[in-house]
Amino acid sequence: MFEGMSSIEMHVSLGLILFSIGALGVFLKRSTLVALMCLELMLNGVNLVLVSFNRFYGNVHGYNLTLFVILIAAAEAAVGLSLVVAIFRSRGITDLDDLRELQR
Amino acid sequence: MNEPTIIQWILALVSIAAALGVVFSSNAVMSALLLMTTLFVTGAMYIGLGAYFVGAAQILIYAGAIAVLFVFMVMILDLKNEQRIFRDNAPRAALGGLLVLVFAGSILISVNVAFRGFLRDHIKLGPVAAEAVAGPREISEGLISQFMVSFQVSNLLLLGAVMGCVVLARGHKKKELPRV
Repeated sequence: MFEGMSSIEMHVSLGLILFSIGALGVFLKRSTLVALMCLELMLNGVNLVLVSFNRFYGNVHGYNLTLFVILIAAAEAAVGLSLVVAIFRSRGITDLDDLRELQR
Repeated sequence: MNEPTIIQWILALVSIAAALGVVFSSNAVMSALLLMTTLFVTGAMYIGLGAYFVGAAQILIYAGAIAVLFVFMVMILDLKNEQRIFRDNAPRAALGGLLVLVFAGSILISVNVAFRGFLRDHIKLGPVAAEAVAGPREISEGLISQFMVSFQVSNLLLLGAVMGCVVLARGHKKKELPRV
């Protein structure tokens, strides 16, 4: 399976594996903060696939799209983290098992 | 260009190990620092693939700002070492894990088949197409001409995110209105 593997195929598979590890983490982790970290892992995996597929082309459109994804991930991480701070301030816990309802 | 070099294999293994450490670590600080490691190593892979500006942007923004923000959050929230790091409801967790493995496995197999099959001729690229120069000039030429709308909309998105963070972090204090 590993013989004759091109560099693009290895990086695409690696991006998929990172995405799957992040998806498992988002689904299974108890702490909200670590679930957000695994969300960033998923976005990172997708970026790796975008960058490695851009080798097929003569232009840089894939790199532009990657930059937009990085930018949106930054904005989303900031808002998600302030949400975690607000939840922690009002409830005292960040356990995803106990945060089941929007109102107390 | 065709075969991955030994350095790319080593970087790939390090990033997988760090990603597994993010998920399976019981310490939140260790998870945050391993996330920073994963993002940094991915930036190194981008530079190895020839995407110089994207690699620099990844290390600056992702590993240098977002991961640091996560470390700040872990320090602020002061999470203790957890005994139970995964959620309850084991049957649903098992089903979710099985679905992720099936999804990932099927796409891995189809990627393998595609790259050995109909994409095998596309891989042998000439030097011009394979080495698309990806410095800041080429990327910004696209940003201000063809992707101008996306650029401006993403600026609006950042503005909205900043406003949202300020509102969320401000807290909820009831102000007494002055009696007239």
